[in-house]
Amino acid sequence: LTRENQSSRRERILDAVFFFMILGPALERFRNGPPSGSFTTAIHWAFVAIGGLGLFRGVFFGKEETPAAPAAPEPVAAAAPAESPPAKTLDETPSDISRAARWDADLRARGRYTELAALLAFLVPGLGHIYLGRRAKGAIAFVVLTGLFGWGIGISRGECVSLAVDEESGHRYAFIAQVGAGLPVAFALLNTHAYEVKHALGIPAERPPEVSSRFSDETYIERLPKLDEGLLYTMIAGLLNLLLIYDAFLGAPGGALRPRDEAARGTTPPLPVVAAPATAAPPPEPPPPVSPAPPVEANP
Amino acid sequence: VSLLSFAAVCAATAYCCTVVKEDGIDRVTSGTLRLFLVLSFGIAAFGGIIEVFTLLAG
Repeated sequence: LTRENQSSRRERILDAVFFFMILGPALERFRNGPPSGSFTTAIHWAFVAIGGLGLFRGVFFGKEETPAAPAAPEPVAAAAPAESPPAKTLDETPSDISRAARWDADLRARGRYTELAALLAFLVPGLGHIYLGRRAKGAIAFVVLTGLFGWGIGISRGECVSLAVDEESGHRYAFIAQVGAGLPVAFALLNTHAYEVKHALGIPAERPPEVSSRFSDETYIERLPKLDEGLLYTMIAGLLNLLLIYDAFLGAPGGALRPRDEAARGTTPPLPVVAAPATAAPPPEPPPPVSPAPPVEANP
Repeated sequence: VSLLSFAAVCAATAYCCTVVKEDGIDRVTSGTLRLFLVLSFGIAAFGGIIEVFTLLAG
């Protein structure tokens, strides 16, 4: 496999994961019914539609395969150098796959691994970028996504992350989307299922009171809109973190190459798609020697 | 609070979607701002249309 095909395969695996996770909010919504208020419903479906359309486009129309590069640059006929197409450098190649390959190779040359960056980005939003040396990006991502997730947890009092089997308190489909936020989800899950965890570890814990139906509780019904909002924010945070995992793994696949990477490229081995220049430019001719000006004779 | 949270969600979405596409602080900032405006006004308009139709149907 060439490096480009590997990148393409890795992208498609990520696309499949995205496509699966975007189903979480939709399944949760079908199970629970529409949220309170038509405006909230519109916002919810707008986000789901934007994400779904983006993923659909990425999965089915986003790939542009790079033609296989020759193993060695073919010699260009000296008789017709002007007719041969100019050799494209990787910077001019329109494919995102090549850019991802360059991104991966540059980082490996500096001792950084995109797989580890993706794992760190999954565990803590922004940590993968910090590992790759993009501290500003990582710090902003951490603040934005952890803040959004924490906000959702806060307004729902931690009840929006739950794998309970009962229909009223469990949000298993939403969890498919929430899990993208990584360790914060794990902590929220531990908080929600504190009794089950303590019971499994043999730690004495007070069993939560049995409730026949939470919908008989007026205060719970009053808090339902907030629970809905919390579900929405935590799901969005989980799905948005997938984009950051994508970015750490493939390096802003839609963007331009970074000047810092270009500066560090002196130590990077050339990629196979980079074609050597067809003809070397002739060295510039040395300027003609300037003869010293004849001495000006003084006018007698 | 609802407007603030709506703006926060739009801002987070705009940033994360721009980061995948752009790099460099100036390009990320301008791209985030542009997408934030498109998202917030677009979704608000979409929600407003739904509200109007709901009111008319009611």
